[in-house]
Amino acid sequence: MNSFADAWFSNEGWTAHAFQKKTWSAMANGNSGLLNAPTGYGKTMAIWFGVLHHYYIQRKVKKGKSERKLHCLWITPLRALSSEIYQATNIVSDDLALDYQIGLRTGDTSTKVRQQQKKKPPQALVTTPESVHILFAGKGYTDYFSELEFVIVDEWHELMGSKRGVLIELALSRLKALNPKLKIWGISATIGNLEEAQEILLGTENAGVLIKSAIKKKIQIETLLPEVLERFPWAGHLGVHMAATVIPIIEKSQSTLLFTNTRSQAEIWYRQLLELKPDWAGAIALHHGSLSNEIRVWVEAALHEGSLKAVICTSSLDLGVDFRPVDTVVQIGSPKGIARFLQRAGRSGHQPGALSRVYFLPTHSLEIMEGASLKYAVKEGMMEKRIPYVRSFDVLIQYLVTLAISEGFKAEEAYREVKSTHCFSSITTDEFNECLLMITKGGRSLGAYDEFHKVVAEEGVFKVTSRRIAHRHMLNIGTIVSDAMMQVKFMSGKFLGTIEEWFISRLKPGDTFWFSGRNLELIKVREMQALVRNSSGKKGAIPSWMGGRLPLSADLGAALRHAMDSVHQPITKSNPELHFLKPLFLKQKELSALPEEGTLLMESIQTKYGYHLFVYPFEGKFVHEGMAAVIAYRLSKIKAATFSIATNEYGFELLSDSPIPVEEALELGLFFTDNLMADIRLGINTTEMARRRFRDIASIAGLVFQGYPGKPMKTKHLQANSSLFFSVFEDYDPGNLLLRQAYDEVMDFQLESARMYAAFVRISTHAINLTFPDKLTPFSFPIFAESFREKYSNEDWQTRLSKLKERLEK
Amino acid sequence: MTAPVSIMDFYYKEELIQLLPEKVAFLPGHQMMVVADLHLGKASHFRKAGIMIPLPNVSPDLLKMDELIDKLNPSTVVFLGDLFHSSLNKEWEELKDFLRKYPMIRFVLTKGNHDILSPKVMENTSIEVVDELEVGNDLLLTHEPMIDLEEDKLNISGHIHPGVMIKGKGRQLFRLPCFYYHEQSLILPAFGKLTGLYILKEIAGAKIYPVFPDEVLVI
Repeated sequence: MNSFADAWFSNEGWTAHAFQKKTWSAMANGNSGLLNAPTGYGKTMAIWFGVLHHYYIQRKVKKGKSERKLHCLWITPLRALSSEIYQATNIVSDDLALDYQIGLRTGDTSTKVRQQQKKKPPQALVTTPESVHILFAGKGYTDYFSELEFVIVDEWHELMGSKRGVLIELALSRLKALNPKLKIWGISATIGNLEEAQEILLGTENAGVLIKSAIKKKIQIETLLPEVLERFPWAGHLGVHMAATVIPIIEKSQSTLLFTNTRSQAEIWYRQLLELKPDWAGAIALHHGSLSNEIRVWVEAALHEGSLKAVICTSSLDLGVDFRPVDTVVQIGSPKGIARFLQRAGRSGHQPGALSRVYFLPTHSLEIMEGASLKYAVKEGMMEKRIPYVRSFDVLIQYLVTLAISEGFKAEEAYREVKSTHCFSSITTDEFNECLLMITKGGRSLGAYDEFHKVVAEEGVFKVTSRRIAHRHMLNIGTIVSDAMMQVKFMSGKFLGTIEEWFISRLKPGDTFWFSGRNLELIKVREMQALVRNSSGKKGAIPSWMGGRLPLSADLGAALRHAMDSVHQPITKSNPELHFLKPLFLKQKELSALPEEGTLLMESIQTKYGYHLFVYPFEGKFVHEGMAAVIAYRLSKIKAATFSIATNEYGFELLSDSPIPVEEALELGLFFTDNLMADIRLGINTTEMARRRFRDIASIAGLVFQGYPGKPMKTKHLQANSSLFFSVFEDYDPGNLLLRQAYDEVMDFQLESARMYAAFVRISTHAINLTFPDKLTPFSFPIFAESFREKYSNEDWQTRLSKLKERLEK
Repeated sequence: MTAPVSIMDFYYKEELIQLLPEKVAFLPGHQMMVVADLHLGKASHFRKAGIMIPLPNVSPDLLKMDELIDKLNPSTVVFLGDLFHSSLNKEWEELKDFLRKYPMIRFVLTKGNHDILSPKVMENTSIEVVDELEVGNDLLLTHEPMIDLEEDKLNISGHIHPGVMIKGKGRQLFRLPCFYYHEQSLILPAFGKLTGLYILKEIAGAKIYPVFPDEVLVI
C-alpha cells in the first residue's frame, strides 16, 4: 500500500506493525488523526512514510515544476527529540535516494542555516512550538507556509497540559486558515483523555481518526522492601537509607536509570551512591535540568554507547530519545502519577518484546503501599488525564503581537481563527477586544494624551511599526518562564549549569555546596555568574530548586485508596507490600482504625502540642492543602480558633491549642458541598497565590522582559518585577483579563478546585469513622512530622502584618 | 480609616530626623521634608515602550505628597534624586501643576541617575537642582550613598530602594521597604509606588527600620 515503506522495511528486514499500516492508509486517504503507540515501536515511521507517500503521489499529479515549498512541519517538545527525528528521517531519504529534504530548526540553529531554510525551504522542517511562532513573526510567512500539507505534533500529550499546547493550538488555527486542506497528525502516549486530546489538536470540525496500537509493553514492577520494618522511617522523602538495596540491582543490570523527583534529591543520591561504591566514579553520572547542556549531552551520548552503569536523573530524562542499553529503571520515592511512572518504566527494555523492568523504591513506610497501588493501576489500565489550559490570555496577547510584527492581522479574521481553538472557544468579542485594547492602547480607560505604543491599526490591519518593539518581542516569544538563574562556572570559564539566584545569594565566598555531583567552593559572584572551584570537602549545602514537588494525581490517589482497602482481606504473600506492612497496619488498627473505601477516617488526638484532628482523604497534597483550609474555615465559624496545618499525600492535620468541635461540625455538615466555592474563596488567601501565578503571565504577555538567561539586562530602565505590576493592576484595573487569568489559574491548577470539589462530593456520600486514639498513630505520625506547616489564617495582609509587628515589638 | 501614625525618631548628634511610615524623612529643626526616588513618569515611560501598565488619571504619588505637605507643612522639600524616571511625558505636566500649588515651598533636587531631563526643562520649574545639599553642620544630602565622607557628618541618601525580608510564623515571608542606617549613612526607602525593593543583607552594626503601613519599627 505504501511503496516507500514496503521497500524500506524489506531492506531493513522488518515487517510493519498493524498500527503502522493503518496509519499509512489513513494518511493516504487524506485523513488527519492521532496515533497512540508505545515508544520504541516505530511511531515516527508510521507517520513519516505517510508523509513521503503523499508528497510523491501529489508531485506525480502536479507534474509542472514549481518552486519548492514547505510540505511538512514536524513539531516536538524537545530539541533532543527534534534532532533524533531529523536524523531518523534523513536516513530514510538517504536509503531510498529520495530528493525529499529535511531541515532542523531549533533554538540552537545558526542564523545562517535559518536564512537558507527561509530562502530555499526544505520539504520538511523539524522544529519546536516556539520556533513556529518565531517563523510567524517573519515577513513572508504566509507564502512560506502556503503549500504546507502536514503538521505533525509529536508527544502531544506532553505539550497539551502546558501553555506550549496553547502555542500549538494557535499556530494550527493560523496554518489551517492558510491551508484549508491541512492534515494534522498527533503522536501521543496513552493518557486518560485521548479522545479529548484528539479533538483539541484536530479541531471540532475535523473528525480525523484515532489509531491505537495493540502492542502492550510488558512491565514488571517490583517494590524494594527494606530489611526490617521497625527501622524504616515513618516519614521522610529522600530514601537514601535504601541506597544499599539498589547496588546489587545496578550491578546485575547492563545500564540503570534512577529517577528522583527533585534535582536536589538527585544530587544527594549521586553522592550517596559514590560514598557506598567509590570505585563507581566515572561509571555513574548525574542528569538534571539545571546542568549545562554540555554535561547533559555527554551523559546522553554515554548512555547510548552503554558506557555508563547508572544515571541518576529527574524528569529531564522522562521524554525523548531512547537509550537502548538501558534495561532497568528505579523510581525513587512516589512517582506521584501513573502516567509518569509508566513513562519512566518505558525508558527500559527497548528491544521489541523486551520486558520493561522497573523497581519502586519507597522512602517511608506508608509509601510502600504506593507500590501495590501502582501495580493495581497498571493492571486496571488507569491513567491520568492531561488538563489543557483554557483562556490563556497571556499567550493570546503574545500571539497577536507576533502576527502584528510580520504581516499584520485583521481583527475579525483573527477573532474567528482564535475562537476556533479549544483554548479560546469561550472567548467573547468583548474579551477579544480587550486584548486588542491592551496591545494598541495599553488597556482600557485611558486619556487621549497617553503615549502608549505597541501595535497600531493601519487601515484595519494591526501592525507593529517600531523595530525596537519588534526586536524585544522576538526575544520574548514562548511560554517557558524561568527564575532568575545564576550560571555556575569554574575560573577557567567552564560552565557547569545554573542555580536559582536566591540559593547563591545565601552563600558567602568560601562556602561549599554540592552541584553537578561535585563539592564546590564559591569564590565570588560576578553579575549573574557564580565562580567556583573544586573543593575536597565533604560538607556543603545542597541547592534546592523551586517548584520541584508535584502532588499525587487523582488516579493514583484512587488506586491508593483501593490498595489500602485490601487490608481488610486476608493478607497473603501475593501482596508483598501489604504483607510487609502488616505489623504497621495492626498497630494502626489497635490504636485507631484502618481506612476503608466508602468511609472517611478521621482521628482526634490530644498530645502535649495541643488538639489534633487528622483526616485521610488520600487525594494528594495540593487538594489536601485546599481542603484543610476550607475545613479550618468551617470549624472556625463554630468557634474562633487558630489552626496550624500540615499535609501530606495521604491526609492532613489541623492543630489547635483548644479542643476542636469536630462532632458538632460533622453534624452541621463539615464536608457538605453547599457553599463550597464560597468557602474556598473565604477560607483561602488566593491573592498571594495569584500574585505568584502572575509572574509567568506577566512575562508571557510581554510586561516583564526576560532577556537572555545569564546575560546582564540592557533594558534596566524598563524593568519592574511582576509583583509590582500585580499590585498596580489590582489597584487601578482590577477587572483586567490577565489579572483574572491569574486567579483562574490558581483555582484550576494550584487548588485544583475541580478535583477538590469532586473530593468533597465523594466524601459527602461516605460514612465518617471518627476515632479518638490516645497517641499518634502510624498514619498520623508522618503528617505530624511534616516540616512544612502552614498557619490557617483567614486574615488579610494588613492583619498578618500587624501580627508580625507585634512579634517584632516584643 | 486613619490609624494613628507612629513615627520613629532618629537622632544624629543634635539633629532629629523623623522616619515616617509614608517613607519620607522629616527634619523638624529645618522644617524640611526629604523624599527619595519618586520615579515619576515611570508608568508613562513603560507605556511608551509598549509595556502596558495601568496609568491612573492622577499620580497616586503626587496625591500622597499633597497629603504629606498638608500634614507636615514643610518650608523645604528635598527630592533625593530619581524624581523623574524618563524623558518628558504627560506625568511631567502633572508634576509642574503640583509644584505650582506650593509657591512658598523651596523644592530642591539632588540629581540622580534617572534624572535625564535637560537643565533647560528643569529651569522652567521651581526646582533647584544641586549635586548635594548641606543641611546644618552635620547633614549632607545626596542621591547615591557617599563613599568618602567628612568625618562626623551623616549622609542621607536614596538610590538603593532598600528593603528587608522578615520571616513570620508559619513560614511566611514578608518583604518590606525600610530605612537603613549604618555608620555615617542613612538610606531612605523609595517613595514611588512603581519602585521595587532591593533586599539588603544584614551587616553588623547596621540598623534596619522596616516600614509598616502605619508604623516604622526597628530591628
